[in-house]
Amino acid sequence: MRAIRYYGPEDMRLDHIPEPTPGEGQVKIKIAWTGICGSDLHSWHEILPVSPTMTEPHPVTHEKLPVVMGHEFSGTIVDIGQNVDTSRLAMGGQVVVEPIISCMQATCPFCSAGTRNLCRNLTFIGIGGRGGGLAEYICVDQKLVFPLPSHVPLEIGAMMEPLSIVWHAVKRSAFKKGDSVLIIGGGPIGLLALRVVKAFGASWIGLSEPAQKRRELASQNGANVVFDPTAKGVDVPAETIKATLGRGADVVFDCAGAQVTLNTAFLAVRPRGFIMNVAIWSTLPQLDIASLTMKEVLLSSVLGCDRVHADGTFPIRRSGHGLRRAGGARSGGGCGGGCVCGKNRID
Amino acid sequence: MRAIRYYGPEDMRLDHIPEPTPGEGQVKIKLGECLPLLSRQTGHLGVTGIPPRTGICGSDLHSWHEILPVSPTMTEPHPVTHEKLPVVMGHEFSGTIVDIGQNVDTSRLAMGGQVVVEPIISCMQATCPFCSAGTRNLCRNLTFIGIGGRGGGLAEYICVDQKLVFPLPSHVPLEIGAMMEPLSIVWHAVKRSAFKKGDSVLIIGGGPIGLLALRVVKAFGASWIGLSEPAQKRRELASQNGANAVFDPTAKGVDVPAETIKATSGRGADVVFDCAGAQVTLNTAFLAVRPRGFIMNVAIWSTLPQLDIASLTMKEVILSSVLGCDRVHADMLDAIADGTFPVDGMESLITRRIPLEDLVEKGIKALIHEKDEHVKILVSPSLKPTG
Repeated sequence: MRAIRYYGPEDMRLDHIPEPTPGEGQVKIKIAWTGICGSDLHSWHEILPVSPTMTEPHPVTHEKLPVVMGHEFSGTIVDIGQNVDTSRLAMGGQVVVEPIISCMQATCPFCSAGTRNLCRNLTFIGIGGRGGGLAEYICVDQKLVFPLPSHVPLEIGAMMEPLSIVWHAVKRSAFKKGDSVLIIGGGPIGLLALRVVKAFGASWIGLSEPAQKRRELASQNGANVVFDPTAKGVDVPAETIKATLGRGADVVFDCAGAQVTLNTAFLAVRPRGFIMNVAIWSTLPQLDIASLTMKEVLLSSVLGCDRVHADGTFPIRRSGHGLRRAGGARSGGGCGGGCVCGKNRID
Repeated sequence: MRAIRYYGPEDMRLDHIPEPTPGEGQVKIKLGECLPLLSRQTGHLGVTGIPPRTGICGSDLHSWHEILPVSPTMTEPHPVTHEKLPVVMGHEFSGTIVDIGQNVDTSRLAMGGQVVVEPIISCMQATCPFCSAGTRNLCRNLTFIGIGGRGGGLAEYICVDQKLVFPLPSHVPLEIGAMMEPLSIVWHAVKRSAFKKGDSVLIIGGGPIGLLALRVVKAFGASWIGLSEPAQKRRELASQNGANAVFDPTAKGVDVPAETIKATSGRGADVVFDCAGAQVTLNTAFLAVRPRGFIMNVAIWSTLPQLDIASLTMKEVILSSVLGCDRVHADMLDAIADGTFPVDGMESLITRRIPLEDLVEKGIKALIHEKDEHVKILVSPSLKPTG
């Protein structure tokens, strides 16, 4: 089959490799759609920390470069291996994949606790090995495969992985229903964050983004206010403070990851508010320690996601139909109204 | 009365100013005694015990180098106190009530009562969402007694609003009372962190804040406490004050994060308190904390740190910092009164006692240049100057 494989910076090739066969507990998925992620862009410039190299295999997958790329994908089950729960995953079923790879050793306190995204040897399908979405087929362990609700097209299914990142970020933050939120950056992560906090009942959402097209999308997707931070006279922190009765935003999501956006976050957040970084940085930021201190701000960041795929309901279409809970095996307190459940909060 | 007043960097003077008179709702506190007392300088043993004292804080040292952000200047008054420099210094103090103004609740604050003061000054305007919510330390115009005005502890007397005055439990000497303010900072820091009973804690820095943090988390039931500190004398105090492991980060072969991870079953510390405030200590915190753990900065920085965003992300760490304290005095003093927070041994943190006159030469400069030999230096207007 055809597959895009990553060899190193500026070296992504369309190769012809054997089709995979589903092993014990695996399903074979015919890939429909795969999204390109910021980390894929990052790897154009340099090998990602969680990736193997041409000479050093990844400690969990044991694979070296080249590996098949693509970790945000959807598809249809076309073959089923031994001992797969076919009541959950059946031939022809449309599915999405949680692409987290972790060591799963009993000696790993993080995998043992279920917090696989904190494993010291974390990597991802499509980055560390085990196939990828930028190909015709992939075989994946059933535990990482989730049925897509029937009314959701596969195209939208391909956005479930970035959605899961944002979902996890919102849950790890202090966000609660009724909060005011500033989102910095209107790329895919920022716009998905907008949809999530909207669905979770944010009382006010501002989104700051230099590109006009993205600002228009932000308005269409539910932002109360959209800012162009590059426009003359626009002061995003001041506007945020004004819009929040002089306090500042309860939560700020920095989905851009640059010094100026992190600085903006510190100025716009309210005292004792929460700044959540949901961006990959290519430089080392300076920390506004004075604002962190004088406003007693909480700052955090997220990596991947942690058991969010099964949770909750979330409006996928404007008609308001919810995403039915995907799979019974991973029940986790999904609630009916799209509000944030308590799992995976600050522990 | 004599009072140390701050005029600007490297300019702290012993002045003679009028004694204050208690206004409506205020009490007048004597910050010293005129009777013979224990003096380390002369070796003369007194009969009335140890005089009340004022502590020198890291922010006082910082102000030796530059005017603090929350301070007025010679030309710009503070927006809440309306005072310009010079102002009386000292915000960590204890004393005795010697006069009472109108409408003071004397069932709580009586003549002769030994007291401590919460030195927070905030705007108290109805339009301020932070003062209105009771979170006075978040007021945008926050300052402190002894920094922004309204008198200070480095003097003979001070008049303070009764709401900021708290009786000291009877078994606590005034000397220990002078440490209630830094204790309140640390108490607040621990409560703002994710710390809970049974947690493992790494404390970076064994100065007064680090050592008080050690005592607090110990009293609150930490399961393991490591403390990292370059100065031997301070490491010894850390061992005496309850640390399970004490590290010299400058010693050959010592890797504080690795040792911390080993001591915590391979996970890392649940909470790290950075009580030193330097790039190397913040970096250490990120390496030593467990995934989803909490790093609390309890230090004043003189530079702008770089943020280990990779560790923040890959370990989903939570980072925060604190300013002053928020309504902790009542609970803290109750815990001291009922023994939940023991104060025995706290005097070990006092490494020098000096008169007002020696503030700069034997106080400020000693803490700047002989930092490793000291923890908390207390000042009293009742001690006689040397030479």
